Amino acid sequence: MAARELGALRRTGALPALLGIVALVQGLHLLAFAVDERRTSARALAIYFHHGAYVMEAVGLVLALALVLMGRPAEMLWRTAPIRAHDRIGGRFVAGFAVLVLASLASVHLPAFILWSGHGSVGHLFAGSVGGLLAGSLGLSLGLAGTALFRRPLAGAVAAACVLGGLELMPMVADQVGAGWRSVLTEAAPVWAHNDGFRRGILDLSDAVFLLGLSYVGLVAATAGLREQRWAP
Amino acid sequence: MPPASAEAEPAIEVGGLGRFYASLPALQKVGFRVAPGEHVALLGRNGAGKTTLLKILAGVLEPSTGRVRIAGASPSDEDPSWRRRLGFLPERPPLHDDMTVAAYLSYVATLRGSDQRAADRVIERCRLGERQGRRIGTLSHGHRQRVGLAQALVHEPEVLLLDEPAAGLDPAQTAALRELLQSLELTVVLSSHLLSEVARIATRYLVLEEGRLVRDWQASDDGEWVRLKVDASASAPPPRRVLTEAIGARYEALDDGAFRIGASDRASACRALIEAGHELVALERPTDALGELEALFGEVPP
Repeated sequence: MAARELGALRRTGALPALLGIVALVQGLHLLAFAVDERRTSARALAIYFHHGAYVMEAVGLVLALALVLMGRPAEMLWRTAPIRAHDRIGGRFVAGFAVLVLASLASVHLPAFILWSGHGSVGHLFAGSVGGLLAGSLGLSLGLAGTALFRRPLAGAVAAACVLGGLELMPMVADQVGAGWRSVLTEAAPVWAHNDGFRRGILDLSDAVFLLGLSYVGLVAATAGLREQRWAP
Repeated sequence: MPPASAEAEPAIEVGGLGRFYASLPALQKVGFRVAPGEHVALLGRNGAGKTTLLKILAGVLEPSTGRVRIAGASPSDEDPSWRRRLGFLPERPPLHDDMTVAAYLSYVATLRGSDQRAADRVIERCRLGERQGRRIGTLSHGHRQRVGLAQALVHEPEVLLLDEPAAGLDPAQTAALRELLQSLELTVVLSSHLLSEVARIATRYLVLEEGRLVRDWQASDDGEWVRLKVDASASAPPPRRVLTEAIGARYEALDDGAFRIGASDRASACRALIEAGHELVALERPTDALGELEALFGEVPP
């Protein structure tokens, strides 16, 4: 199922277009925010991966929406096939994750450029890429959940974007409120907090497990939503 | 294909079936049984509830009331494995336009627990060999419909549900579809507005009207016979002997002094009777399935 979804993205030209756009956007924010003669390579990489994670989250959301919309004409095929909702969600997630890996590879030359011209470490590049992938998979799973929980996929994707945006913005809100609320909001701001280490080149297993766990929650919600849609007219 | 014996477990069993959209009834108290191997046509005007009934049978729409058993399972079962025994062609075939015919059917076969050989077989059966390398999005409506039918058949189901399979097909494509459906040795339930085609494919007709099953009619074999009446000449041999001994026709005497013979024998029978000295006074083809259907729906297609 994942192979079909991936093949559909390739055949329709969506995959090369997406990879091109990702590389372009990553390049633009690298030039706009990260590259500065006064910065160390490590700092430049951290800034690049910081913005890059947002890009990957957005790519994950867009992918979720694209996969759902592409499957719509053949919706009846799924609903009459002897497969369960989790097979469908799993297939879409694996296909989407494969695209995220390709998107990371398509733009890996950008942080590599910082390494080549400065003194960063390969480990930082690797950790940052893993963080980007985890952020992308979170966007993907929340996108799949939104599109499965809402009758209109676009509305679902917008709702998922709001949730994701809310999770990312919480630290900024925390800075603006009193100390009592600050700790609560910071604790409840898992995405930013648990991706920060990757951005700075630190591979922390607990962060990875946390973000994967959050993605899993999204997939569970997506499966439940799809199961509910089974009887939709 | 004649239906199996009445004792066999029905391929489809529906009882007290109802479906409401908001408070509007789309189906009300529909009940019937279909024996394995029967070819059943769902007839009715637009909005009569045919598509709703087919969707419920296919397990993609939940009934509001009543019970359904199809291919030995209930569509509401959590375990989806029963779907391997069911093939469904909805009004709009569920196709992936970006795939080639061969890749799509191979994919559907895998999805339904079948293998590549099944895909190859259905390509041959549905005469898609010449088009198997083409992308589905580039096919004509008729060929898309044929691919849709192939996806419903690829896993060799026990029950086949078809919603308007001949819609938009040209006469040659319709004839090819009919030929294929006639050759199927499985339970078929189809809805169609083409009465002439339905009469040739189905042996039983369920007529829906405003969501209710108003008629459940089994086609007789009357269409295979013609009724004859002669003004018998005393000097000529009896018609029965002329027909059975001289030309070996199927012969049955009727109550009103007339008789009926096999439709295929009518030309030689008329010639033999006239040569024997009888005067032919009546030759009628009794109302066949199509005639019954046309009488039921008038000249306007349902």
